Amino acid sequence: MDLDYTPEDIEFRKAARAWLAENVPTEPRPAEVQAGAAFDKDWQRRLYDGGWAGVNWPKAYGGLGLNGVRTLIWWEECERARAPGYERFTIALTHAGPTLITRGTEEQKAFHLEKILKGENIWCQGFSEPGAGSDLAALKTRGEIDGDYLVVNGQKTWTSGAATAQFQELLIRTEPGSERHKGLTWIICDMSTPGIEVRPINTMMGESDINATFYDNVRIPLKNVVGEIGGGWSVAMSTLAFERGNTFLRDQISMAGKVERAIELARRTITAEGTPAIEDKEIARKLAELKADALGLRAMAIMNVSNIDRTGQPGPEGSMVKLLVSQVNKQLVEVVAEISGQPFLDYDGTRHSNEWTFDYMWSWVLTIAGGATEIQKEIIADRVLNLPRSR
Amino acid sequence: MDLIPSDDQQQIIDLAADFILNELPLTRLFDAHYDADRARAQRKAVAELGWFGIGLPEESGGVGMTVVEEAFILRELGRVIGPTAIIPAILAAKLAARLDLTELRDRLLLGEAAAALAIGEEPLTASADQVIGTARVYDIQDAACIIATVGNEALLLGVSPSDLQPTPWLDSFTPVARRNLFGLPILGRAPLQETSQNGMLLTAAMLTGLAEGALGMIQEYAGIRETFGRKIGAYQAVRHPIAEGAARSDHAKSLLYVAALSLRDGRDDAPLQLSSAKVVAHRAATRNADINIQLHGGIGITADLPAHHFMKRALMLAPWFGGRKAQLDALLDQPLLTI
Repeated sequence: MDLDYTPEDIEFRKAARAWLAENVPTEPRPAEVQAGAAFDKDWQRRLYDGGWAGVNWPKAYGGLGLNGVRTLIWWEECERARAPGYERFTIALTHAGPTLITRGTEEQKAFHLEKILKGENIWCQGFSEPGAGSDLAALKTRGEIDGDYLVVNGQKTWTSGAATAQFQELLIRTEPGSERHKGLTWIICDMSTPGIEVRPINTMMGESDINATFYDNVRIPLKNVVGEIGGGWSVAMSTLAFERGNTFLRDQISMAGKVERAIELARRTITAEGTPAIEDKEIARKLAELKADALGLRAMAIMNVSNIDRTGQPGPEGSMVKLLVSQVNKQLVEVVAEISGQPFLDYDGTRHSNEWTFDYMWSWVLTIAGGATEIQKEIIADRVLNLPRSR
Repeated sequence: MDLIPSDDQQQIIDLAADFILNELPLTRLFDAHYDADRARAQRKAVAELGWFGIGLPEESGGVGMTVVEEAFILRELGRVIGPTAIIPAILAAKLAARLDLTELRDRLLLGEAAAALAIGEEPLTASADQVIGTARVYDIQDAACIIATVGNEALLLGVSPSDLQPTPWLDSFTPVARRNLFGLPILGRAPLQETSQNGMLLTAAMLTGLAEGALGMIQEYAGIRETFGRKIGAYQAVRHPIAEGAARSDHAKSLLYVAALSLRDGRDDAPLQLSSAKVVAHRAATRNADINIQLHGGIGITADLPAHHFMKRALMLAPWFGGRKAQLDALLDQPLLTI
């Protein structure tokens, strides 16, 4: 047991830091949907050209194949440099790509993986439906085999990035009359296929890129099926485990820095009482406790990457991390609202006008998306604690 | 960078867990009361395992391991609400070794004598030969010395059993006295930091174990107890608080390990990690003790069931080596370690 970095780790950190210092965009990510996606593609292409694309993808598929500790270092350096996050490439890099790597055909891998790493193709996720969110297995969008095609009809929702994505990981019911986890198929859907309609959903943040997606006799070649027809549930689950192990790593290790920024804000904010907010003991102690929590989250990240480096994969503890990260984040933005007072409401519908206010609203996205808090508790109860099943 | 115990370290953890399973199972606390003879026998057994000197160098009569292994053992003891007396004993043996009080050191290591811990009810002051101020003195059984922290110093005071009269006390397995420390001889004094940081770690480790022990107890019960025709663990009103408790335990454990390694290696962020570990572990122990009582229902508030001992122990350890407010005020301004 140790907290030390090897000389090679330190060299890696230096190289990452130097490259990021040269390459992180100085301009903010545009709030407008198309411009934002173009920004994300440029950044992903720059990562690719610099040799930093797909940090934890296997080398055989063009990634860097970093171990857990190096992945941690990479995200620490990204946070230090305030580099852009995955943004519109979240699905491609943390769901779709890894799913193709583990379950795709050679043809599918050859066609898609490099295009993701190069920033050419954005992917979105077609899982949730109006009647199937947390209860994903209740999904109804259907696909019927017609020759060499699956003909898809139905509706997906909460489709982040649908308006700018080239491809979608689509989960549909392909066996008529099947129920729950049976009879589902995971298929690669080209978003330019006729019959797809994307309608934006306005959110409380103002700025957003989530949509409802409608399918009217959309013909998708059968060769786009990943895994077996009817075996979609197991394919979908292989991606979700990966998501919880990785997507929150940056949020997790950057929380301490975020708390420090809130402490700085409290030092320079003069409250309506005429004193710096940090002199309010209640605020100071809330921030201190969140700082302790954030250090605990970082310790969990080190534990998690230690496990990955020993066993090769993250465990179900990912659900505990997701639960805690999103809760600590929510408590933090609530304190910031208290520190800021009235100026917290200065907001023009884009995150740039007030990052903390955007974060405050975004905190519900973190506790709902990618498996709501209530679902994470079910997963912990089932898979970590082996409690009697509720369902 | 690796937060998983090595094979040798895992062996220490397994040996501790094995001893505890035989000598200190949680079931020993069903409707149990403090038994002085039994506590004394336990101290001897723990001494035989070398636990009072686990982090003390071999040339000082110890086992020659580190604060990390101490934390492993305290965590295991916390799971079963084990004796707190090991905390002042470990610290006093180190202080005695540092102050060349060899005879006292060896008596402590052998379990022939015990060490107590004083925590002031008011700021304690010290002159050249006296400590002044009223304190609660914890773990007084067979105490030959008392550790007291005064200003920037850790002091070792000489004491004999007649100096310390037990007072009625909530955590009945920890005999406690209340007195003014005036009149007790100062055996030696040393800079505070080593003792207080080590004490924070040991306390955080026991609190982490308490959080895990309370969680384990309700987790087990939720798989057995039936109401409305189903196991209670199947109800979300029951399983969700337990899931939160598991996340709290894991959070506290990870932070405890980082704090232990940071202290062992003398890293700049050790004070920050230790304060954080104690705050997080104390909160985890308190909340998990709460759900353990609550979700047991009526049986949870009986004397028979040991659930209440988790709550009482977490309350008792709160002020040890700095209470919550003091830790929070200290850690707010401490810088994050920059790499």
